[in-house]
Amino acid sequence: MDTLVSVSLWGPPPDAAQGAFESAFGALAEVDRTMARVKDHPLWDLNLAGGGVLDPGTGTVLEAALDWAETTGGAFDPTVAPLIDLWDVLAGPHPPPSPERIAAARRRVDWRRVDYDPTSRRVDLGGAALDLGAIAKGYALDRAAAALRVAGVDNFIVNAGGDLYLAGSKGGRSWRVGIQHPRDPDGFLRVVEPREGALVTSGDYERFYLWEGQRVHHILDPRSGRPAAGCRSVTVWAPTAMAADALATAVFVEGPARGLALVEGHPAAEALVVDAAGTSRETTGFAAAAPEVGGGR
Amino acid sequence: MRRRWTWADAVVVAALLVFNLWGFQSRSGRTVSGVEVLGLGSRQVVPLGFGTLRVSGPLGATVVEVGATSARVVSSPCPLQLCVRSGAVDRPGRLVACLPNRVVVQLVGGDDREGVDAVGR
Repeated sequence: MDTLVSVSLWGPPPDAAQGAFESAFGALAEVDRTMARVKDHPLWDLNLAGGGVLDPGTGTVLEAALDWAETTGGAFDPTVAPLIDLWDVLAGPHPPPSPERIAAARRRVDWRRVDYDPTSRRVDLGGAALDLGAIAKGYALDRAAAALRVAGVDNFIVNAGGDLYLAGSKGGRSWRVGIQHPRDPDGFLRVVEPREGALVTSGDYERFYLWEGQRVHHILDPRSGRPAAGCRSVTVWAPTAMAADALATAVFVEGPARGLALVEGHPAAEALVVDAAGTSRETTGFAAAAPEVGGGR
Repeated sequence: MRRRWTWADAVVVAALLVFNLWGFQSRSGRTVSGVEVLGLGSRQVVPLGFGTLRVSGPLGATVVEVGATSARVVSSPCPLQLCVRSGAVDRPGRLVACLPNRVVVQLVGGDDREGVDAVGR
């Protein structure tokens, strides 16, 4: 998943905590092993082969990913791999790709090419390539949370590079989360005490470089083939991290107006958006899902 | 001749101490207390200003430089050099990771910004 994961527990004695940690990290490692698009890993081989039979976890994630792709009209698209490779934001400053190369990569991006049968778990990629990075991290958080509950732990935070699953409390008070300000590295946009569930943030400030004054970041619009331009950051609360993860990407790509409308259509999810001008907007229920410490601004 | 210690000297020394302690904190109150360096089966915590250290991994040695206010990976045997390109980190919680060589460099310390348990980013 190309990120550092931490698990914070409250309450269990050290022996029980150690077992819980091992269960949680085992679940995280299994998702990383099966769903990271890394050479010699199953997803890499699946893309090379153009399809195959998926393991149950990857099947669950792909089925959800295709559902989100349909729901969001392709703002979330699990076949965005050619564009990720083309832009290669992690490689650091370099000239953005030409319009011709972007167009060529876009022709290979279309979730509707993917034919997946959940019963047999057989998939035909139809010439597309999968990258589950925008949803598998959420699934991994959910799996780790489930493993912790099975281990008897009720109060915890699983933190995958700033994407969070929170459960229970910390010694009788709610877990407290600072939402990173997208332009002030030392500042918080807001400090909140979220309800039990996931709080996932997508921003243009974590993985980016500046080229001729333009911010080139890693959240790509599958439809334009370019970094999405409408938002600086999107924070989504949802009961599951997989839903929050997919929605955070989709809202970022859609931009504040259509993105917030998209979330309003999902009664279980809420969102806080900082638009490209730096203005914060949120869904009607975000303040209830993640109350601000101190009771408001 | 040996100069006598005066109250004025004490005030200057106290001011310098306060200034230096303040200098170790960011303007939001995040204090770097050290640098944690994880290798394959190894863990070291060294203070800022420690200098250079080598961490062995499956691909070879990663060289880490721990300066007065930041830490960075100077060289690495990994193919993409993402860890080297990441540059220096200077805030608690920030890290540089070399996944191929299994090395993580993380600044440790308090993130006491309003007493949060986690940062969503």
